[in-house]
Formats: sequence, structure tokens, C-alpha cells
Amino acid sequence: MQKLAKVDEMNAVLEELSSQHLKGKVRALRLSLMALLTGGHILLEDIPGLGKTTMALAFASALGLSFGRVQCTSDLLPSDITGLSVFDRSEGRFNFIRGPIFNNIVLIDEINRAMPKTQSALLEAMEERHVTVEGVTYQLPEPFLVLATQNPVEQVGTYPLPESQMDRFLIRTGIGYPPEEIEKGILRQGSIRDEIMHIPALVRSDDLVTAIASVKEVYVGDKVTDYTYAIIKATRNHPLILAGLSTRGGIGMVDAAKAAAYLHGRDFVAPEDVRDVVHAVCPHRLIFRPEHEGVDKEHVLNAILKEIPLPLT
Amino acid sequence: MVRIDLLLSGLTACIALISYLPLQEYLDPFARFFFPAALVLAACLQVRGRALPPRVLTPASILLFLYLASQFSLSRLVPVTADLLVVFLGVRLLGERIGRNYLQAFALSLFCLAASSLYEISAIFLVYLFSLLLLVAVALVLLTFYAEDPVSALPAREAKKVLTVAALMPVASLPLFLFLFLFLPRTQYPIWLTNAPAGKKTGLSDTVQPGSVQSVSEVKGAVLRAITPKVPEQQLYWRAVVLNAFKKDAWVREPVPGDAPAVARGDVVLQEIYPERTATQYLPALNVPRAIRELRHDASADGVFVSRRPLDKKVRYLAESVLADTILVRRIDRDFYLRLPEQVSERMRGEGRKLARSGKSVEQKMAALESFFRDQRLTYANTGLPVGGDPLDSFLFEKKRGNCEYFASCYAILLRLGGVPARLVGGFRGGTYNDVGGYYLVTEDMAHVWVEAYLDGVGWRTVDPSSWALGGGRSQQARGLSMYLDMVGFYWDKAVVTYDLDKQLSLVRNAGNKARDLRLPPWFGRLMLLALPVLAALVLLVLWRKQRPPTVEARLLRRMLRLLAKRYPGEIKGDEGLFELSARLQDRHLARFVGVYGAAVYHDRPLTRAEAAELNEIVREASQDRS
Repeated sequence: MQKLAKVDEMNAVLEELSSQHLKGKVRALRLSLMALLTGGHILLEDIPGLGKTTMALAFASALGLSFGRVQCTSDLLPSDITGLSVFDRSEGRFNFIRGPIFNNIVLIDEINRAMPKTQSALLEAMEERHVTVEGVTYQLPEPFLVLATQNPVEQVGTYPLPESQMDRFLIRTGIGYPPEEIEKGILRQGSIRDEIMHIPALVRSDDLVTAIASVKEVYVGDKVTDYTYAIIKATRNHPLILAGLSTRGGIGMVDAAKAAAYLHGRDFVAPEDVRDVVHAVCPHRLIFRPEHEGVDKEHVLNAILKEIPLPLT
Repeated sequence: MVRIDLLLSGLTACIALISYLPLQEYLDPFARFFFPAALVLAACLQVRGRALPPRVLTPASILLFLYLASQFSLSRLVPVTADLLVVFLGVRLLGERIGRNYLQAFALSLFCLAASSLYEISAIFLVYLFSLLLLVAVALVLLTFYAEDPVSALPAREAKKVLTVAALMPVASLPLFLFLFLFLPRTQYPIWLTNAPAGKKTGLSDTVQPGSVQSVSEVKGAVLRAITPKVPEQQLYWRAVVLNAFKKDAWVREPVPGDAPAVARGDVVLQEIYPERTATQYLPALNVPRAIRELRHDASADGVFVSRRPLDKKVRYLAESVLADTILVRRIDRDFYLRLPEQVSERMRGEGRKLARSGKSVEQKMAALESFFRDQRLTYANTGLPVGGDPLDSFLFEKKRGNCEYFASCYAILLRLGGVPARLVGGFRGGTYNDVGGYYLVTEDMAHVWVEAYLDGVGWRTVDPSSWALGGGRSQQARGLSMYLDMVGFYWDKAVVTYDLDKQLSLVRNAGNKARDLRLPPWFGRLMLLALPVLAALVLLVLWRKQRPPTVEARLLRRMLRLLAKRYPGEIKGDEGLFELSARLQDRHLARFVGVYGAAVYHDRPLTRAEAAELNEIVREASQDRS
């Protein structure tokens, strides 16, 4: 098996972050890295105070990437994210002041507080990877990862993302409370926000670009494609589900599985890679029938996965 | 979806019920009612999703045990054990629904059914046994699902598949069943005889004393079944016993004084007779039996055959009879056959004297008596029989109703009074012919007594005085369901119960003889020697090919997975990916294996020769690695 480019470095970052700075957030970290490697975006859905921002900060500094942050409010305008032209009197012309989105890693905090207009401007930028302001198109930097957070509990004065827009995020996940021992350690230690600011970069930006390129090279075989398609088809034919996975959802599954295989040091996707990313990639793309809205999406997905055997031969 | 737990509980209830039913009539009232109550309670608990905890059940079991065991004695060994089994089975049903309790319930059910066979061996046992085996097999399979996940449910299609496979298992064992049947030792009678012979009131007895009871109840129990061609109705007399002397007023049997051996001429009829268990040892056969075979017996000159051993188990014998109304006997002890009972009424003596003085021949006397009987206009009846001081007198001249005992007694006594030697013959009259099975069923209500009168120098002539009654004449033909039911029971006895050690031995002997006498061409042996291994090899090859995965990859993977299943028992669930499994088990052989294997398989290319060799090597190393 030929060696995958930069896979050790990537795993080292994960290892370093999860063991030193962000204990108990392996899963979220891993998924974020996968999103970054596939060029997707990630939506963290959890209550405030579980370290979403800390994680994003640490992630950016460990990868040696620039970090931008947008705190959403209901009066946030699209230009607050993208940036705007300001007249420079001394030079006598308009200068474009870049907004926070012109960073490698952009944390959009509480995306559901922004009004739909701002949300869609943001989503458009995520999709297109460039911003057009006053007729001029500005390319966003590479690599580019949007880490959006959403508070599922608070509902007053929010504009929750509709399912169709959730589809733009490759991965949606929660963070969850850290395990007891780790949380006690955190309590003892206090906040590590300052410390995180000084995490040395473990990789360089072009390492990441190389890694992203080699994730694209990961091979997806017929068996894996068949397996993925079987899952998609099962969600489309399921009695409880109104709209199953879209094709974009399927692509997302395969992309995420590629990243997972890459992080496992394989240059091909195994069926279990696909199965492992299903829970991160799929639930937010499924629309249940109105009468079954209360059903736990994870359960339904588990049942579907149980029905479809992994292709072993 | 089919819920496994409900299915399993239902099956267990059925199993328990099946084992309780055959035992039910022999149980103590307490156990008899405890079990249904427990079953109903268990059903209620199941509906509520609850069960009695062990801290309730264990003391209850101990108390029940003490209560039942207190009735224990050596003579009540089996009844007490049966009660205990049934009560414990009931208790088990109430307990928590866990695998161990289910298994105990199954075992207790089998024991209960086994216990029922100590009391009774009948064909219905086979039905119970087969349904129990079938249900237990299915339940055991379901139990494996249940043990894995108590709340699991199967889709209807899968459940059907599981049930079919489970049900096929006992069916597949049937040939073995039959094979073992031929060789295993057996009993021909229930080991725990609950006074079975005495309990059955036979219509046949070796004393006849008219007037001892006022009415005769008609018991419909079977007495015997005889495979024989159809016999004309008027000749359907089954001879069992001859009563030739008196003890006070009752007809009894005394040893036959120097009669010459009896000869009868007529059509010979062979019968294969299966008598039910009785307390008497007389072997009935069609009148007049000439010989009995295949059962040890004593024969007397008056055509009475007595078995040497009690008929307390199911037996069979062959009888050879001559359908004749006269038994040729040259010489008899006239005085013996002319003795009279202690008490004979004046009116009967008068009739007898009239007959004796008439000076007619024996045949004329018999004819005269027949017309006397007909003139009396007697009625045949089983109820309102004459009793009291002189029942026979009352029968002949006053009440004028009676059963065969009155007719035969009066006729024989009047003959003797008239100087004609006479005796009573006890047996059965008639029989229900089963057209399907080709046999006669004789029941106890067919018990009958008739008369034989001696014609000088000729022999004993059969006369049935009952036939001179007004109306009369009985004939029956089995119809419908009862005929088939009786036939099933009969063939069960014939094929299973009376199949004993003798037959087993003779089967082996016959097989041995047949094998010795087998003549085959000389080349046959050599050909078979060659052909058999080839055939066997072919069969094995076909089986192997069928079972073998089609590709090299699949075969290698199967070998590896089997190896792992052996090394990590219970760890391989089959729903994991290979890399996942490798990461979980941390097995270095597996890690190497999946590295090579996955690279090829998930790259959509076949294994190269080198890779296949490497994988083989890994599997080999893994199989030798004992660490």
C-alpha cells in the first residue's frame, strides 16, 4: 500500500489536540478535520458552554490556520460577514475591507440567531467559496472551513435553519458533555482559552492542501458505492421518511468516508467507513413525515443500517 | 413484526398444557386444579408484563413440595411424583421469563408426559409426544433468539423462516425415531398399573347366577379386536368359557371330566386376536375354536382356552376356529352334565318331568322346549330383571323378562331335568365389523351366554335360547368417525404396543437369514466395493461444491473468520466491517490479513497470486498461533 501524503501529520494533530488540550472532544475534532479535508462544513449543534469556540480556536491554531469569528445576532447584516467597501479619503477611492469570512476557519456562532437573509449570504459563500461584493469577486482562502454552531434549546427570536439549508453542511454533530473524570480535570484547571491561543502550529497550511488533495485520491470501489446507494435507497423507501437522502447527501457520505479512510491510513474506502459517517452526515438531511416528526432519527438510521449487510467479499 | 417473547411464552404454555392433559385424570385434585390456575395466572402476568419474583416462588415451591411429599408412600410413588411434576411445572410458568426457567419448564413438561405413560399406553400418546417434540424444538430455537435479546421482534417473513427451520428439525429426526423403535426395549403395559384390569368391568364372568342383580349396565368398553374375514351374523359367537356345574344356584366351571377330545366339522376361520387387558384369563375366539397359537395357554376338551399368564398387558394370539353348530364328541360323563342346582321350583320340575316322561328323542325334546319358550312369550331385557327367592321361576312364569343368563340357565336346567346333558357357554355374541381395518370389534355389552345340549352319540349342539325372545337380534356396523378412531387405536396396539422383544429378536434373526441367503453375482461385491466409495466421494464433492464460496477471496475470508470465531468465542457478530473488527480485536494476524485483503477487494480487483499466497500464509500462521 503506498503511503498517503501527510496522513501521519494529520493524525498527530488529532492526537495532540485530543490528548493535550481538548480532552473528550475526539469525535467532534475528528469530524471537523474530516470536514476540512473534504472541503465541507460542519454544524455543531449543542448548548452553549461546552467548548465549541474553544475547540474551533484550538483547531485553527494547531493547524496553523487563520481564524475568524462571527457572533450572530438578529441585526447582523450580510456585509458584516463578507466585508464592505469603505471610502479612503487620502487615496480618494473605495477600499474593500475584508470581513471575517476571509479566514481559513470561520466560526459562525449561533447561526440560528442571524436573519434568513444573512444566513443565505453565508451559505452561498460556503457553497461558492468566493464572495462578490459590488461586482467584484473575491476568492476565499484555501483551505476553508465553516464551523457553525446552533443552540437547539433556545427558540425565542431565532431563525432555525430549514432542512434544505442544513443540507449545505457536510456534517452535523453535537459535542456532548465531557466524561466525568475529564470534566473534573477541566474544573480544577479552569478555562484554557489563553493557553489555546498559544498552541504552536503543528502543520503548515500547504501540508493541509496536500492532504486535501490526497483525500480526493482515495479510491471508492464498486462495493462501497453499492453499499452507499443501498443506504440512500433505503432512506428513500422508508415508511417513516418523507424525503430521503439527496444526491448531495450521498456525495457527502462518500466524501466523508474518504476522509475517514484517509485518517485510517487507507487509500481506499471500506464499507465501515461509510457506515461510520452516516450518523454525522445523514440525520440532518432526512425529512420525516409530519406524523412521525418525534421519532429519533438516529434510531431509524440504525435500523436501516442493520438491515443492510456490509459487503465483505 | 413478531414478538419473540410473546411467541415463546405462548409456546411454553402450549407445551405445558400438552404435558398436563394426558396426566390430568390421574392427578390429585389439588394438582389437577393448581396447574390450570397457574396457567391462567401466568397468562395474566404476561399480559401485564410482570412475573412473580423468586423470593415469592422459592418459599412457595418448598411449601408445596412439603405438602405433596407428606402424602408420599412406597405405594404412592408415582402419583406423588406426578403431582409434584405438574405443580412444579405450574410454578415454573409463574416465574421470571428467563432462559433457565424456560428450559426447566420444557424439561418438566417432558417428564410429565413421560409420567403419563406410566399410567396409560394409548395411541393418543403418540400425538402428544409428537406435538410436544415439535413445539419444544421450535421453542428452543426461539429461546436462543430470546436469550440474545429478550425484546427482539422478527419481521413476519423472517419469523416464518425461523419457525419452518425449527419445525423441520424434529421432522428430520423421524427416520431415526423409527429406526430406534425397532431396537430399543419397551414395555407392553403401563408400568404403574392403576388397578387397570380390575377397574374395567368385564361383561364376561366365570359364574352365572341369574337374579343376583336387578339390572345390567351396558359397558361399551372394548373386549377384543379380531382380524378376520367377515363371518355370517348368525355364526358370530365368541366362545370364552364353558360353565358345567353348580355351586348352590350359580353356574360355575369345574374341571372337565374325561371328555373325549372335541372335533368339529365346517369352514375353518383364522383370526388374529388382540384382547384388551382383563382380569380373566380366558381367550375368546369364534365358536368353535380348535387351536390357539402364539400365546402360552392351557386347552381343555370343551373348547376353552386359558392363558397361562394374566392378561394384564396387551397381547395377541392366533385362533383357528371351525364355524359349526355341533361339536362332535363320542362319549361324555352323563351324570356330571345332569346335576341340578340346589333349588329348582316346582313349576320348573313339573315342566322337566313332563319332558322326561315324553319319551321323545333328544332333538324332539329340544324342539318341545323351544316351543314352550316361545309360548311363554318371554322378553329380552337388561333392566327390571326378576330377583328374589326364585328368580328363574319368576322369569319363566311371572315377569317373563330377562337377559341371556335367564334364558340360558332356564333352558339348560330344563334340559337337564328332561334328561338331556347340557351346559352353558359364556362369551360374546356379535361384533362390529370395521370395513376399513377388516376386523371385528367386540365390546363388553356383547357378553352373552348360550347353551350346548348333548345329542347322544353325536356331540354338543349349540342352542341360543335368547333368540326365542320376542323381537331380539342385534347387529351393528361401525360407521363414521368412531370407526376410524377405533382403528387408529387398534393399529397403535397392533404395531407399537404389542411389538415386543420376541418380534425384535425375530426381526434380527430374519434379517440375518435373509442376508445369509442372499445370492448375488460374484462380480457384484467387487463392483460395489468400487462404486460405493466413488458414489460417496461424488456426494461429498457435490455437497462441498454447493457449500463452498465461489471465489478465492470469499473462501479465504471464511477461513479467517472461522478461525477468529474459534479464537474469540462469541466476539464475531457478523455485522462488523473487517477493519472495524481488526481494530476491536487487536489481533495482529487479522490486521495483516485485512490490510492485504481489503486493499484488493475494495479496490475492485481480484487478489493477485502473491497476495493470495500471502493471505494463505497469514491464515496458516494464525491457525498455528496458540498465544
